[in-house]
Amino acid sequence: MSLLSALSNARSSLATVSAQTALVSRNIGNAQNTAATRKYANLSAGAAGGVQVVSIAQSQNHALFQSMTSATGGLAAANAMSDSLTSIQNVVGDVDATTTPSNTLTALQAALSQYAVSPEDPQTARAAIDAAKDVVNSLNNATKAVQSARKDADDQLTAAASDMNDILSQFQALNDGIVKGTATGSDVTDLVDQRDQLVTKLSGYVGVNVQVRSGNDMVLTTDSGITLFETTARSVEFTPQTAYDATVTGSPFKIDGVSVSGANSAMPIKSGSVYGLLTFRDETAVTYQGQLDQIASTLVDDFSESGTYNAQTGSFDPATGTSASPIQKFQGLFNVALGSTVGAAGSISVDPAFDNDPTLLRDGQTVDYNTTNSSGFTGRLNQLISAFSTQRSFDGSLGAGSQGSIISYAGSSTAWLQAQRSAAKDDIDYQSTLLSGTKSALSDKTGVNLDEEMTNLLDLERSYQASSKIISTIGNMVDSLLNIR
Amino acid sequence: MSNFLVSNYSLLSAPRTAVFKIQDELTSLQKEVTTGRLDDVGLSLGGRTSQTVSLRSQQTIVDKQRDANSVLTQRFDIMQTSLQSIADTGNTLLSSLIANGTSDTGTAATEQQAMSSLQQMVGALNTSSGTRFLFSGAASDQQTLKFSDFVGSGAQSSVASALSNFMTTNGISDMSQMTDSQLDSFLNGDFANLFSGSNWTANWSNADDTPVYNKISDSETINTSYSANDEAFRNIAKAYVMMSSLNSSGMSDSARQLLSNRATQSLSQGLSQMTTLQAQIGGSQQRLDATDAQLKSRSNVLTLSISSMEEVDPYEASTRVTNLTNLLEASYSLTARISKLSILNYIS
Repeated sequence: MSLLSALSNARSSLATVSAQTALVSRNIGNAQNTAATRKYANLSAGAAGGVQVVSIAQSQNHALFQSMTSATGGLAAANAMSDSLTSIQNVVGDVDATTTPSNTLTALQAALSQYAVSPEDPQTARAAIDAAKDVVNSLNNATKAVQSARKDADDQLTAAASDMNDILSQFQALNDGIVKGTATGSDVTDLVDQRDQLVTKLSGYVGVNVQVRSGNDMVLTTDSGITLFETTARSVEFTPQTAYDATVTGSPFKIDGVSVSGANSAMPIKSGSVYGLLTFRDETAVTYQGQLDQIASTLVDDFSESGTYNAQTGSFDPATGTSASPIQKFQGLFNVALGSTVGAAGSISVDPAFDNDPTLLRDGQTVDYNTTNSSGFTGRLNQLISAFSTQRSFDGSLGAGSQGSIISYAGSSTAWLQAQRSAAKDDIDYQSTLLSGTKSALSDKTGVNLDEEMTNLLDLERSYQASSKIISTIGNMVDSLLNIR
Repeated sequence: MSNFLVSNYSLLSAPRTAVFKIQDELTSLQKEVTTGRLDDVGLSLGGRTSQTVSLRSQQTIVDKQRDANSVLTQRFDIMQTSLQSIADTGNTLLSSLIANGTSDTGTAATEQQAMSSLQQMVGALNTSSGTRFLFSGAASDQQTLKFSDFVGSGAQSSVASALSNFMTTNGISDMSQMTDSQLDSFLNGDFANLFSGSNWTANWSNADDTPVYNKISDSETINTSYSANDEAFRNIAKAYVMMSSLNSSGMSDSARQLLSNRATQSLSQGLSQMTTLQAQIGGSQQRLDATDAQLKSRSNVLTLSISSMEEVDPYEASTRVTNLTNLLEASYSLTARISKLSILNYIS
């Protein structure tokens, strides 16, 4: 041991302290950056007893990071679903709004009751036709809202696909840099922070599973196992539909050539906004449209006219059919474009003939119900009114029940929509609490605390002072030595 | 590695997230306090929304049914008034017939009174309410009788021609020559025939007898059509026409006596038949009253049920607003104090 080795130790100490001070200032600079982790220096004793910075490390917690990304994905899915449902709800209206399908149906039944009391009054007839138009508008508008919400979902999916491709290509550049830097032993901590930030961003779109391989190489898969990134970025493909109506099926969203949702998907994803949007577009919206279509087609059926041809009068009588002249059915007040029930709510309309002559509601259009042409005839009207409370069968797979009157079915359809909204909101509450919890936990483990950095700085200042003091003392000693004569 | 348990970010973000949550809750509560109703009914009730939707729909139906029933009630009331006025007029004539006897002077007065009674009945039967003629039955847009004034009407000329035909056929040149038996056969034959169902609708009435049914509640349907073709009106009209249009003043005393007897008989029969009609309408009115009471109490129950589902207790809501405001203030002052807390203040 010599005086000079003491000097070189003090010098290395000064160099290490400077490097550590630089790290402290970097940490302080990033104190408000939630994506940044705390950096620290790994020190080791040198061969001659000095100290040196071996590498720059960062605080990490893989498990917490993974739960934070999965909460991000869950929240994004719930938000996407809730936003889409709210856009429908805004058009359909609150339970006391006069525009909901169930309320317009009730108003139509009430208008028919009023008409039955004064069947000779053209004003009450006109009011009944107006109520029927409200029903049609309500169903048409709800259909438009559902389909434009599906189109919105499609647009957001398009944006998501291009954004995901961008993220993945940036990710590739960063990952390459990190793998190279790790191999050469350079400081990659900032790059790792940026890479983690991209993973978080990506997990907003699809649920992401993260694996870190040797050499700090990261592999990304969706929560269902589809590869997003392994050495190279995989492509995300999506082709939007130009327009939506009830008959259009949305095109699949593909990652690495694999469809991520739907019945045909081998590996369906479970979270992320893409999941929320696809579920809304292909399931929730389709189901609600199905309910509206059920209401519309039942309504058309309720108001249809059935009778048998009477050769003597040349018109149709509301009689029971015989084999010679069977019962024939005609569209009545409500028309719908012929074909399947799919999209009936969008194409239902009030027959213009009824609009021109509202008394057809009382007398029948094709079938002659009012044989005596009495102005006080109420038979047909009473028949129409009781149709509203008649038990009907509905498609039970649509979630709004399979038996009930048309009004009760419309009510359960509204309730179904509200239940979906309510569930989405509860999901948002849960996921956002989870996310803010995991974010705090992760930040506590990996983030920066200013107080800690400042106390560290005090330590560093002291050792810098001490090292400087050593150098000056050694200088004095060497001076004394040189002054010996 | 970090030795600290809390990062700067979570230290400052904890009260901040609390503030967002409280503010969000506060906006919806404020709306609840001012409207007294849940901020977003569908969101709060979820799947239970179907109950409030169905309650609301029932309430609309019940309220509109009551409106419709009140129209029916009003019509029945007007019909009863008209019928009562016909009955009063008829009874007055009946007592005059008995009081005036069959003297010449009395006859002239009776003739006039019968004519004015007839005109009164024509007016009463032509009563309308809104767009509807109340005694037209199913043909509710047609005026009940074919004329508003019996004088100069087809009905009057049919009576006159029946009388003149009878006199010509039997070789009677003057009313005074008509014997009792001739008068009797005329009254029972040609004249009675004028008031048969088919001739009544041909000369007098536009009404349609087809019953018209209206639902007055979910389960109950009543006939709301009462037409002027009822036998009661035909008998009363027959009595009035007998006294007013058969030239009774020109008859012999005994014939006049017979005519007066027949008229009295027909009038009393008609009036008693009309009482039956009034009782029938009264029955319907009573059904309507009972139904209305029932619908009214149902509407009240429905209103209560809807409010129990959709409405919030204003006291609870405003207490919660106060609590949240306190929390918010605490959160603000906490944020301010934490942000002031720094080691920088203590090292130099």
